[in-house]
Amino acid sequence: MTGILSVAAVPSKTAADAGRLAMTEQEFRHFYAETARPLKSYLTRITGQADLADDLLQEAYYRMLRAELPALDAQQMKNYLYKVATNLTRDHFRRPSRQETPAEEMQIADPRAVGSSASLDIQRVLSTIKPQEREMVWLAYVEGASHREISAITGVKESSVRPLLYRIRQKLAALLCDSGLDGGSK
Amino acid sequence: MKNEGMNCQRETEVVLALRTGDFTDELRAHVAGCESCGEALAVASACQAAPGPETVPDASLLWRKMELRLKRERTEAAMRPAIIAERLTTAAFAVCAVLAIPWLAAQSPMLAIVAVAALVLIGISAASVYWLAASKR
Repeated sequence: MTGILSVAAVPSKTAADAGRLAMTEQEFRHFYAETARPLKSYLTRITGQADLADDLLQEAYYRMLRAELPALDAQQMKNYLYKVATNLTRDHFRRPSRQETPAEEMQIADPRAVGSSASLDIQRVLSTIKPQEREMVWLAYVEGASHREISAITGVKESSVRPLLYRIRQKLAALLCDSGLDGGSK
Repeated sequence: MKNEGMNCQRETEVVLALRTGDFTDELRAHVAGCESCGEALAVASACQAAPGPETVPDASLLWRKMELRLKRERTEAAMRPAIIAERLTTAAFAVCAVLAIPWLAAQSPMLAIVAVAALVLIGISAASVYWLAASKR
């Protein structure tokens, strides 16, 4: 996610146990303004549900601000936030009462999650790949995350990111071609 | 560019150029001749073409909610030792009372009956208090 975040919001201290959040309100507002929309897009695409994405987003920020973190720069904070959000999403779908796979529920779950027809089309294409693959695709091709960042966020070994992304990209490119969504990109 | 058989090293550059709209002629020419970057561009274009979320939760409201939640959690954490002590005391009292009943019965059967009745009343009162406290939480 190189170069897409320019906030100076750094957690003041690792003070979760001191009874306060790890940023001041102003730092939080700045950090939130930079990260909330991309994070919600990410969560909406990997869950297919806008309401769920909102819930997970709020929980992710809270967990991040409560965590005992060493001093991190803004980019590291953002990566940590995405990691928390990714783990929360996986936990959500792992719970016994949530047996449905996000992939199968994506289209029908919440039309607000997608909005336009272009969005619906890409959502349909994304719903055909595994949740972890969706995470990787979004991080690599929308957030522009490096392989190291993808590895840190998704927990996939850094050496496996490249071949996995290669396979997913080929699969998606073929699906996009079949759906007529690849036009004019070159 | 080094392709390494799978992903071209310029893929990230292509994705970022697409985000910023900063596509140089040189990069465009590279994409035209690089299968990996071509595919990356197709995937990134499709994903990035989808509109972002219309709304996100309000930052101020979220901050207030987080502050309140933090306060509540800290209060609960602070209360935990007191709650444990209270439960241990209750358990110790119950054990002592049950052990005392045979001794009281040996002294006087009437005294034992009164003690059992008192224990039942205390038990009901304690259960009501716990139930009320739990329902308030």
